[in-house]
Amino acid sequence: MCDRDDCASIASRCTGETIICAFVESITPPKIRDKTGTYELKCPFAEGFTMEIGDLFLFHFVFDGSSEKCTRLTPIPKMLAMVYEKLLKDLRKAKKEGKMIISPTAN
Amino acid sequence: MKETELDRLFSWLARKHYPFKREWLRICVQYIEGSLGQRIKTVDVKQIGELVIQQFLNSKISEALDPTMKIPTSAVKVVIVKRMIFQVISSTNISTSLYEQLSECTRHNEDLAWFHGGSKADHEEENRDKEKDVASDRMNHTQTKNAIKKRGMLKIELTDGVNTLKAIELDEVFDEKIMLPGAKIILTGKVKCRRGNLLLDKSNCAFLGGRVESLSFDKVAQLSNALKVDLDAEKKRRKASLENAAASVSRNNKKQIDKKNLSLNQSSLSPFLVKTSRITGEVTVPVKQSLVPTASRILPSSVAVIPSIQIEKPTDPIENWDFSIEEVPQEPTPEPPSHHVRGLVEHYPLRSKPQDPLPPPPTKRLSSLIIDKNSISKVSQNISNQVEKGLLQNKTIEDWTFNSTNSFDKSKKVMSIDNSKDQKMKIKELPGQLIRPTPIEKPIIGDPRMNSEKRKDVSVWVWEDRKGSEEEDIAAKRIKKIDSVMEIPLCFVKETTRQANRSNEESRHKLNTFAQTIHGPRSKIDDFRVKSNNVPVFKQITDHFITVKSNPNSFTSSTRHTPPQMPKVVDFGNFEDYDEDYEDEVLPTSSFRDQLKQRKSLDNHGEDVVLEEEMDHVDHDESIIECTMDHEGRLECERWGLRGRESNIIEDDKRNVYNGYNMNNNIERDNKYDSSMNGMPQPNLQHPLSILPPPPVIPPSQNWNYTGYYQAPPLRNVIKSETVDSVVPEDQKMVGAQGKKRPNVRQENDNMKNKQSANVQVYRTPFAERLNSGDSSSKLSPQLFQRMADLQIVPFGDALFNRKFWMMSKIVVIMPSICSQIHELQSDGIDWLLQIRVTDTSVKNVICRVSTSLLNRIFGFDVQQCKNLFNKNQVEELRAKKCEAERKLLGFKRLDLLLWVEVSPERNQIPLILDVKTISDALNIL
Repeated sequence: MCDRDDCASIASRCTGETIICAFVESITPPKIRDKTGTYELKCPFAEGFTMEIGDLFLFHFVFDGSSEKCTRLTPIPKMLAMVYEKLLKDLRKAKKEGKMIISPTAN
Repeated sequence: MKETELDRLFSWLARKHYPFKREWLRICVQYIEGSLGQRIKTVDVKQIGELVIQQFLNSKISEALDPTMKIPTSAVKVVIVKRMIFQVISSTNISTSLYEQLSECTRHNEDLAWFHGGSKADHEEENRDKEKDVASDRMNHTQTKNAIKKRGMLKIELTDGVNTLKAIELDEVFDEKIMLPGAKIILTGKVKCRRGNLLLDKSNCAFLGGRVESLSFDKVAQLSNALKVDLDAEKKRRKASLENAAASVSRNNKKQIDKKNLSLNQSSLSPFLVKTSRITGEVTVPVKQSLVPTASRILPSSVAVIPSIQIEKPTDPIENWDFSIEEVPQEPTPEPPSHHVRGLVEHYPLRSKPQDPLPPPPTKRLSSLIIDKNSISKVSQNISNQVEKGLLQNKTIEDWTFNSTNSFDKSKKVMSIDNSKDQKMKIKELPGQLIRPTPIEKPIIGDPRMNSEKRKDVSVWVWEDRKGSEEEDIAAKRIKKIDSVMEIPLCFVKETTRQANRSNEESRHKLNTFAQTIHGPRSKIDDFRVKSNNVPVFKQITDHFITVKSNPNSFTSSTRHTPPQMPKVVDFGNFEDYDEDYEDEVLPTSSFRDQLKQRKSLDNHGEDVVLEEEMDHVDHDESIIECTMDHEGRLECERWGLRGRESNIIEDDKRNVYNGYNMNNNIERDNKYDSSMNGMPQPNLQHPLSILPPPPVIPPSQNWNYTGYYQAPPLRNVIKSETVDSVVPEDQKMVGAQGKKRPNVRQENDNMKNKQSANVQVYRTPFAERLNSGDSSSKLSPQLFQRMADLQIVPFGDALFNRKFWMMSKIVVIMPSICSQIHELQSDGIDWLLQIRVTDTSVKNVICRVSTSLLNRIFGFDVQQCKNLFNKNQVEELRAKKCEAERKLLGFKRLDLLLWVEVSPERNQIPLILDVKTISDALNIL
């Protein structure tokens, strides 16, 4: 499974993989921000897209306990920030209420 | 480490089936102690033992281990029950030939197996059997799939440190990539050993791992040695050929130098030219004269020296000689037969003897040299006499060439020769090998050079052709007409016509007016005729989904094709009109045949409808007409899948029973919106069967779900009256609205025709206001949330978990967090083969297939096009296609994708990805 996080919750993550929707705060050092705060990456941004400060990106991080790795990123329109914010909110709500069916061995 | 501790470690390892040599163990422990330093005090014996095992895995077994037992390799059958450790010496895949493996290792060219699914040789085999192409492709389809899964059988050479024996894996126990020399395996169960061959499967052995660098070997060298193939043979051959070439170049240079020394005066341009001294004009080297006969002779010695034949010295004055330059033979011509030469000599007194020296160059200008007309006439007369005597018969082609009238025809003098004689002579002089059994190629009519007889012949030929085929033989004419001109087959006739032909006998006559004549291969058409008698009319042509237009001004859905226009305008106040209004909009999945069926029954009810006129007016979209049962099922499934989470079972049942009601209602509202957009009068939207007032007009962005289908309002707004519905015949429900909405429908139909593309997309951009991505107004938030909700995105895990409750497949929309391609793009000649792993918030690494139609749309080309390139051996183009496809497949790496996945209730069926969009596209954000 791939979880969703924001800049506040990703700071406490140490395992698994997650997607975060955040604005690019600075490229060197790699720093992202959203409504919950700012997060400085412990790894460089993934390559593949030209980044500008203030762009909204989806970042994919893989944590292996001690380190993190930004494997992919995708730019998205800024107006989708609130959509992803709501998605994260709904996901957390579903997890909290136990509505999610998590079946890691689906096929 | 003390001896006691070493003993403990030794015994612990022995219990673990590692009977190490004591000396090796001591050295190993000392090494570990040295590596750990002070930390050794914190490590217990077991941990040291684990470290020792790790060291052992990367060591030679002969140095570290004492074999438990000696396996009798010559025994016919032995069952080994002890746990023994072996070291891999080498492994070979024995499911494929060594040569193929060697080719695989040494291949430098790009492998095209991704496309044709096999080796090139296999493909060539396929080309030989092109008639069985489809069948063989289907077979290959399954074979390819199996080939992807099966790796093949490994034969492993093992050693226990002392003995060497072989093992064959019966299952795919080991990974071929990690079966490196020096790796260790352990027998964990009863292992049969037959004549020194261990039979391994998953139950009786385990892979321990490790490798020994010093034991590694070059696999290419191993294979080439086994095959006794010299891989450097090509290099050696090239080297030898280069040496030979260099030697030959040096020899040639030497020869040329020698030759140059010998013939300094020989021209390098032509052997006929000689170099003369510019000062003295002398030729130092005598000119070589060839024995080539010629009818003419070039006098200027500076141009060429015409070899002479053994003929008499000319007695005519030089003015009678033929100076035509074009007659100079460029290449030596074979000597004609002697009698022919004699004949020529007799009548061509301009010849000279070969021994004679060259005549002096002409002193007159060429233009002043007038050939005597009488002499030419005399020559031609002599030729004709010879023809009559038969002297010129039985000549070879060279004779003909030599003695042809070429040299005379082009002369104005010779043109005066009697044509009839000339013609006669030509006919007689033609050698046997030039006479064709078939008629001679027709000359071009109107050629001024053609004589009158030939012209006449040509006209006769033309006349004969016409006469034989059309005018004389009437029966043949009829047959020919039937054979070449025929009616348009059903496959080329529009569906409307076909339906008319089927549904109404009266329209058969009208159908004939539609029938056109075509010229084409009859076999295909006959095949189609045979098929059309056997298969259902609505044969599946494409598995594409229906199209939804995105332009609000031309708001049309491919699912609702334009109903046929009715000539009769029905009173809207009539009760039936409401039904007709209601039924005016056709279900996206309903076929036009059903409409016609209803229409036919409508005719039976006495409606004044002329079907033929409809046929003239109606021009339906073919993609709608070709909707199949399978297509319908998918659409229905999709509609349920997308709406199922909100609506309860009863609503679904109602939707099922009154199939299309919601869609009609939606389209009705759509028409209202469309009319308001176009400034047209709004139709009466009140549903005749509804008791509650009609729903308010909802903005289109809320009416639509963004998968391209109309989002129906809740069914509680429309309460269906069972009694009324049962009273009103189905066929009467569709009448009135057609007349009422005709202008609008016509406009929609035109728009639909203009915008219908051949490459139909399953889900078009939804009909909703396009949002600018730069607009970050907070007012857009509810709209975006609504659109997201309309997408009906489900957690993939939910769908996979709940599918056991489903009766049939459903199409669900999922939002993957990350997708990864499992293997590179492949094809079996029919479909693309691509699997990707999908992970979202509920499930991880679900393997999904990607549908061929989706890949075709993504790539912009299909398998058949690649197959054609492959068949034409256009490897570069095929490679470019592959690169393009791989580049486009990188889109699956995006993190903002939405996938439309068909999930089957059967667990063993892999979900099929039907469509993919970015979330921006799905929400219609520019």
